[in-house]
Amino acid sequence: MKDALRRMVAHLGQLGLLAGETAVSLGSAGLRLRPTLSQIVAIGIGSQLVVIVTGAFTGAVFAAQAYFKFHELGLGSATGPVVSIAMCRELGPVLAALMVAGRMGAAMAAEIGTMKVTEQIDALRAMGTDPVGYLVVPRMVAILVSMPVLTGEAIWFGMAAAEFLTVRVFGVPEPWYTAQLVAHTGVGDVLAGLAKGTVFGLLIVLISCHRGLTAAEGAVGVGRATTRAVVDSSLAVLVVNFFLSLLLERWLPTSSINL
Amino acid sequence: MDNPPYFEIADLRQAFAGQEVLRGVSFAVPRGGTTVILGGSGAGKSVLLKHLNGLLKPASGSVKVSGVDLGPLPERELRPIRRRIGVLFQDGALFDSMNVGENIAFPLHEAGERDEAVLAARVEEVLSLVGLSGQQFKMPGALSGGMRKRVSLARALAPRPEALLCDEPTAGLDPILSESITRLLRRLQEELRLSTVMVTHNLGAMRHAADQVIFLKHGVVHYAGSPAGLDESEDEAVRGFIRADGMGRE
Repeated sequence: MKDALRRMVAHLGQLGLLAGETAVSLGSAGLRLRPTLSQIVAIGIGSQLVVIVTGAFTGAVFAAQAYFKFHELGLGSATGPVVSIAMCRELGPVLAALMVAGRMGAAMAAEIGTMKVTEQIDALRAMGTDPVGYLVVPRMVAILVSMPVLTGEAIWFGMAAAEFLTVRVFGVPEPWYTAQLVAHTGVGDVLAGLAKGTVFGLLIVLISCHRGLTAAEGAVGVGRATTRAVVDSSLAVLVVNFFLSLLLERWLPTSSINL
Repeated sequence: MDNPPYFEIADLRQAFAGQEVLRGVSFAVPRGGTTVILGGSGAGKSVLLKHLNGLLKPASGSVKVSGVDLGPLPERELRPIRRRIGVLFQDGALFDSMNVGENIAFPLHEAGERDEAVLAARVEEVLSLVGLSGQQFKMPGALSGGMRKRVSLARALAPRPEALLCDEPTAGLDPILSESITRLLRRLQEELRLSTVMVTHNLGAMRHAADQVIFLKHGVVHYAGSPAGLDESEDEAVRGFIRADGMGRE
């Protein structure tokens, strides 16, 4: 138990150091445009489908369950605000982050881990290149650009799917639905979601790149680093989400729902 | 001193997970010559090589490059020194995402060269030096083991380094390719007068390339001197290694 705790503290310390090195490298050496654009394409554009499908179906299924219960009480139009608050503040950012962690976290750890075990990272250093500046900074900047967009899309498609289902399939009058939705969803709710998504993105890059950079020898080491990158990133997203929810409630409080 | 050594290693010690890998290694690499670090697997040869350009920091002792002690230098100050030392990695360590030409141009680009015509000319020049003229558009995955080593050598030579570090340049190659790489290294050394350090367990390669031999076993230097003198050594570890090599050939 003591050893596990010590390992965890050491691991968090290493993540902190990598975050510091990334910031210093970005500040001193600037940004490499080509690898950054290529990462924006991989993360931002490559994750479109998976994030949109996840957002849309989560919004739809959440709307269906909420409607079934609210309808019994004659409150079918309350489905909109409940879904929008949940999508904006929790489901949109968390699910988008989990999808990106599964897709890009694994790719980052595998690519950097393979470079580590085939001495490509040593080759970078031997040629006087900072591996953090070359490998981590472009990914960090790319996710800073991509995650707010991906989170926004997950939220929007979730709400759109919920509205389609509630209005077109379940027959709740559109003006009621829209009036309730607009009245009870504030800019703060959307901003809270986008802020969360951005923080989750930074965590995913930091954790996944660190796992890659510290991969042990051989294919087994790369496999282990990849698995750990996805598991650690996903757990970090879920745990940090809880604390961020409490924190953001002070700065960007949830819009009140008066039914 | 008129011609001070390029690398000076003094009482170098290194340990990983409590296990000593280098135990007080000392030697000097003269400018413009080839020093071969010879020894069996697990002797600490590759670890020693990684100290020569500061990829590893000594646990104790010192490594000097042109009189500059690498130990106390932070990573940022090591970078300009590393750019003067080319490295031929054991498996090439070519960047998978780049073609041969981009791999070779990479260190030049990192050193600030942006003129595409200059980069292309230098890439072709070093490729022809290693006998791979016109291969710049191939991807590393499409190259044989011998070609990967040649491309890695071309990449190491592209920025016109003062010194060259070669980690097992003949490992994994058949005897013909192995001899061809050794001859190539010797020819380049004679043409370019680089201060070269080559790590190998291949006695044939050593005899062909070395001006000086350091024999390492379990992190301890058992012999330091001329290649011819190695055969005369009374050291049991050296004699055992030569004997085992002879049996391997029979």
